[in-house]
Amino acid sequence: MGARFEMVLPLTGWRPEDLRAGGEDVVALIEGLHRRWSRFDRASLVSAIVRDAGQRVRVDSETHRLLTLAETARERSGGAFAAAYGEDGRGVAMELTPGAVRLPQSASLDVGGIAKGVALDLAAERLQDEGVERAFLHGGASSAAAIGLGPGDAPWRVRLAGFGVDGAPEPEVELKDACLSVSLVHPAERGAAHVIDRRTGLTARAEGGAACVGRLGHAGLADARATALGIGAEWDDTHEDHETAWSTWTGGYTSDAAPGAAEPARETAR
Amino acid sequence: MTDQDGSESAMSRRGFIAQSAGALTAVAIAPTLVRAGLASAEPLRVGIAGVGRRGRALIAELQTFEQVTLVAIADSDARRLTSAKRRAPDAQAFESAEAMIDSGGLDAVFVATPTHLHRAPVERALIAGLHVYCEAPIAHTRDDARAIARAARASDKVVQAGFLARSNPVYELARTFYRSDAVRDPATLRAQHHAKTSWRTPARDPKRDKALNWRLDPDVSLGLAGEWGGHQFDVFHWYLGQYPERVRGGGAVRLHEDGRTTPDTVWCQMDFPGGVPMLWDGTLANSYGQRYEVLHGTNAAIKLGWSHGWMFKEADAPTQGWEVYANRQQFHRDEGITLIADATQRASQGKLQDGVGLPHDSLWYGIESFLRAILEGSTPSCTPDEGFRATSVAIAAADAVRTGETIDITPEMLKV
Repeated sequence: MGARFEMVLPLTGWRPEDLRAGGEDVVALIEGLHRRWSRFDRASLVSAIVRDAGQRVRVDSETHRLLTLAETARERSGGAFAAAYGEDGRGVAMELTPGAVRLPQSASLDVGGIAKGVALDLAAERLQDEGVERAFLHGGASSAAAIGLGPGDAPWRVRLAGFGVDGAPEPEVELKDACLSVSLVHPAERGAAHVIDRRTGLTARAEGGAACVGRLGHAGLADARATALGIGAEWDDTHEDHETAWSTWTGGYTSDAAPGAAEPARETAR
Repeated sequence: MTDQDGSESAMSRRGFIAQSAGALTAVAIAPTLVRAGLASAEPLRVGIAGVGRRGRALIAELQTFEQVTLVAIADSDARRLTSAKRRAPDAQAFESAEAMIDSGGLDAVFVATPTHLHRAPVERALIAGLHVYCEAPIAHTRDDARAIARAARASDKVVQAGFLARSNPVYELARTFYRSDAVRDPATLRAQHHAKTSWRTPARDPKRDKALNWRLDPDVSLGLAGEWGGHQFDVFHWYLGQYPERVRGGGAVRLHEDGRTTPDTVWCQMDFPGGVPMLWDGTLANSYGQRYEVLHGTNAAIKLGWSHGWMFKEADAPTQGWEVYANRQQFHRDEGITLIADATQRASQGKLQDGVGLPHDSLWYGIESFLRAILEGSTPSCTPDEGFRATSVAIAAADAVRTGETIDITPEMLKV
């Protein structure tokens, strides 16, 4: 996944050694997911799926969950987000059957736009399975998951860096049993934007960005949603209001403007 | 391991094997062909006894095999069972291995309970007529290990011990070099397993803590030397075709001052026949170098890092024709020839780079060997007898660390 993951585990009734062990368990989980999902590692499962494009490949349940979510995101983003893509860079559908996936012949697979979020979802589940009631985790400082309350029995507060423009303070969000994903291109990164609009197969013209807050367990979908909204695509929310309860911020920097000249961030509560 | 060693930048695109020796062809294993070859059989109905970290890894690997349907999981810990059930929603959950085995409907069982709790489910599964994959070491006492091996001998079912080097394609390939005289006479053997981890499982309830943190319990745990070292000692058993004659060891708690008495840092020295020394150390306090084995021979050294392997030749060693075309990697002042499993076939397909490093975890190959043994009648990569002997050596190493005394490994200790 090529990102640094960090977590905060408050000592609320736990012995330090036990909580450390819980954290180690999460680190081991994420390292294992990285080995399976990295497209740069020839030994990864994602590489195997690409090598065997056109054939049915059996996958573990966590990878199946990742790919299923990627397909959901492709549909809801109108194709702007897609993990699988053809030789022209445009998104293509994967054929998912129970326990298996088939990529179209010659297609490639890049789960980078969704893997961090799914990894956080799985990590949060692992901690909750062990009885951890409070935790904050992030991957690459762009995806986060918050379990329970933070310090001072208050929600975890996160500042949306880059979303405060024209002298306005950067907004803060409060997270409790919630996830957050941010997709934002800083002006300094103009011309090097890494987000591909899979409707065209071309690098997206960054128009600021988007931040999505949803319920805990939906960080994967939040990743894809923020990516799609960040490049100006629509997202079909009709199926998921009740399950994700998105709050969305859009705006921030634009690709053509220096900080301070962009649209102020806007919050849309759903 | 070995991201720091496994840089792709130094790899050559020239075919390692294009003009290579026939020995390489003999060990070629193509995972896709294996999948296809096994696909004609009816799916085996399998269960997993014990779904802690190892059991969860088994779930993930088993789900990638066409020939397997995971129909049952068992664990006495409710939290673990719930967590595993999420990963295997179609599997029936049981609160004990015994209940799972007695429920029927299984062809094979993977036993991944704590080491000291292997014997009962293995014996019960064999009585029930099931094939058994038993994690390694296969037991924490020689009596239990011997009982498992004897029960396996008395059964007509496949029993495989989980010493995974023996099913690892890189290790198989390197072994052909070792045994073909390329390495020549062994001078020294060296291995380590380093990790920065507590080796603990989180548990607030004292009863649950005792059950889950069995590896830190000196009454039942073989410690680092037994649980980790045992797998690496078996590499040397397999390569040399010999077992050590004695072992010395020691250890201490260097980092994790959490009340444990089981050392977090240990060392062992073994004498193999002919006076060949083996040095091993394991620690939970530092991860540098991670996990590897090295065989230093008079013509070459072989370094094995589970997913990768290399050969380092001496300047006065004979050169073989294929070496001209070999992939090489630089390690400070040493240059290693990359050992690539299935190199012949990959070279012919122009996919040699795909073979640098294994496409699966070592556990996958262990499972594959087990399935092959069941479906095709082949010999499992680690038989119960071999599993017993490797476990017996691991127990001796654990005893040496615990007592600080030299332990003689007698022929009787290695006799089933």
